[in-house]
Amino acid sequence: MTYPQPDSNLALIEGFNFFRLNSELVSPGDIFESTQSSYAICVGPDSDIANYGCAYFDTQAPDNVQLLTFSPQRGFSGLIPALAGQYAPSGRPGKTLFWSNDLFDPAYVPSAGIGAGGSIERVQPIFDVIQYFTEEPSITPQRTDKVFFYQQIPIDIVSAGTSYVIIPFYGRKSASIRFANVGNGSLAFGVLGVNYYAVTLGKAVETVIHASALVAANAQVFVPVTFAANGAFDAIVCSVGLLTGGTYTAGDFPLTITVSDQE
Amino acid sequence: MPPAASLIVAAEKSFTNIYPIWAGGGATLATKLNLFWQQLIKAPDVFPETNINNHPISNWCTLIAAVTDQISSALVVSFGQFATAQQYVYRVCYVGNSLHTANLITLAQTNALLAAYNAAFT
Repeated sequence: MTYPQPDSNLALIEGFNFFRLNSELVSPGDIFESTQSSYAICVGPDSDIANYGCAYFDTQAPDNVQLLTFSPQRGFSGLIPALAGQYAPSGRPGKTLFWSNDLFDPAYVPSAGIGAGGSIERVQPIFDVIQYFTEEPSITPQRTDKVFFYQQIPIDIVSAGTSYVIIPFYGRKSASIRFANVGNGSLAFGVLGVNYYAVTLGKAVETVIHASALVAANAQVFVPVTFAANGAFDAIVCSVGLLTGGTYTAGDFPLTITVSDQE
Repeated sequence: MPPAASLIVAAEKSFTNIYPIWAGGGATLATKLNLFWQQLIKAPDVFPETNINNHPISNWCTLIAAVTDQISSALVVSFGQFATAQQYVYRVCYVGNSLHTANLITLAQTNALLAAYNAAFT
């Protein structure tokens, strides 16, 4: 998408019994709307975001603004009628609004720096919310496991910069990370957990999950991440670069990251 | 506080700029927040509802207006109310920058958003 966003009225006219907002987040300020009634609201299967904010029109709430939070653990069932009222004191139409409560910093750069020839492969978080127009026997807000597979991490074998892959991890309970060095030399591989905060653009709180260490030729490293052992993160950062004693050579460097809502 | 030179800087500095206002008292915070959103969607209406590209800004302003109204009537303005208002300001500045970058709002609208921020919070 991100903007202009899909039209909830069109979804209804075309015969869908739901309206889906499914978009890459561009900024932490992305906010979306629906003008239709809903019988249920839940997190969509492809969502990377775990905590959503929602505002809907309710004459019994202060300023007609009723707020709710929904997540993979808790959707919302119940009729929210599309009323022709206005929010106070702004006087704007009483649309249902959706946004990500989780923060996202599109400018984040790992504090260790990239260096000449390095790169950042940033996976934008997916905003996925479903609003049902009909009563549903049940809603299953749990997110699907996701596999981020890269056949090759781009590595500059001349200038020895660091290459990063940043994937969203909001509310996930576990990750399985596997990096292979199918080359002739040794490379350093590390994993960070990152939490964004709404102050300084480009900076985030970093936690070392797997300290950068050499992976020998034709070897692989497996890094498990769990909520219980490592904590909760907004993103996982994998780094591939040169460490003392390492040598860049041409070769293949596949990386597979599987994230799940299950431990 | 020096005026923010861009919406990104405005977003970054939203906590630094708004915290002292909250610490100075809830009534002052409500006055400043009202000044901010009313410059954008009340008079003049810089982000009219007729253009869908304006909606991200006006939707955040709607939420800012509501929390401001609750702040203005609160006996004690909690840190949570302040943090909610500050995050809404952070987000509206950020999305304003994104919309401008994507040519979905005009430079005049972008400048109006920044001017409203600077008038209210710096």
